[in-house]
Amino acid sequence: MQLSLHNVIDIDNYDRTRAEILECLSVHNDMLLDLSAVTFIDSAGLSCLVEAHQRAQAENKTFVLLNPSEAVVKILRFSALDSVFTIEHKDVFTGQQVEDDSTEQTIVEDKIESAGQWQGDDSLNLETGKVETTTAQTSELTLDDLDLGSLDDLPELEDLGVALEPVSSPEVIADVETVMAPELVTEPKVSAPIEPLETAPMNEPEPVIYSVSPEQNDDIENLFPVTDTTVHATEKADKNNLNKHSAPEVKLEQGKIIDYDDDPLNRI
Amino acid sequence: MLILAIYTKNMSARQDFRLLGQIKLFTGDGFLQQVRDAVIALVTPYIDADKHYDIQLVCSEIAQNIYVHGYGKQHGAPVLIDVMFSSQLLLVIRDHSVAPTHAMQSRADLAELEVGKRGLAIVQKLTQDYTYERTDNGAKHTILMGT
Repeated sequence: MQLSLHNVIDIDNYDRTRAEILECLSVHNDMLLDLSAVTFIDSAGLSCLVEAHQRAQAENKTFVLLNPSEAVVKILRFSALDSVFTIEHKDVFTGQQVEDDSTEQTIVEDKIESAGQWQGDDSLNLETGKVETTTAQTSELTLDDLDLGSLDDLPELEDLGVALEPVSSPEVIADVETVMAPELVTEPKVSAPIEPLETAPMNEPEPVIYSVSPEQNDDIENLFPVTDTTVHATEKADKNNLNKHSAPEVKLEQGKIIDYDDDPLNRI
Repeated sequence: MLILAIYTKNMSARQDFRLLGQIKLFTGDGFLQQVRDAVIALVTPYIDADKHYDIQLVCSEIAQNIYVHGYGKQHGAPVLIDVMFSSQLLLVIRDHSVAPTHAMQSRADLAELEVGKRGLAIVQKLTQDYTYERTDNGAKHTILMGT
């Protein structure tokens, strides 16, 4: 028996989704749950899958996740449940089992993550024109960790009829070095002063306020008092003809998140 | 534009956050979808699309916990979300929920508690910092995410 789920699986349709899966599982011994059309799934949806899996195990039934979408694969990985479920990838037209490329990619990504992370970054210093590396790489990953195939499997170039040319002359290499090196180490030369562009000043986007309806907006204004929100503090500052761009800074002790109730902006 | 200078535990130096917007919503049918859509609408100009799913997932898990456990699935309860951005995304979500008591927890559906725990584990996996505090009249969730 195959059941397909579509679009979003969250708390809004948790009860219905759970009931459908469990009902289907109660009637059939083998169940394929097609998740290829699921665009979003959160912990509520995941709980439906976990419950169905546990029920199937308790009743010696088969419960398989079929063609899980990227959203499903992600949440399974985040929850470390990807190895718990039986997952199949089948061609929707032929029914033939297909290899899951995303899983292989995931394994390589996991290997890279577990072997160590690149903690630094290469950046171009615009003042010096030099490429700077901030921190050394700490990865212990070697090529042996990745299954790249064997070099012995590659055909010889001569077998392919490719004629090998002699190695490039040293002069050519020297030319490359002399051309490249100054570009990396010298400051960029400016032949003429750069004229400032005549463009209109960029307007900073104003904070957007979303609300569900004007009536409810009035209600929520009462529920969250004006002094409790930073946005209203800004509006009050504007009314007092203060410069928006020199809004007072809120300096707090390190290790603390801003506390709106004690926010100096509220005392403007 | 409002700039807030903020320190949090996982920041090595002060960061100036730009307040992108404030989202005011009430719980009810479609509440989680509204939260996800509104937050993504605000961050889209600043954060790459490949990060949107993680942001949606975190917002959805927090909003779900507020709706289910904080408000007991009550409709029409207020939720306020401040969305701020510098090199990281900072979300401050406030509600007027009642603090859960031991008696309430023991009555709660065990399956729902499992969902809540699983959701929190996902939030902690996807965020750099997540704090939950009780306030005088509700709760405040502070979420810091790398972008």
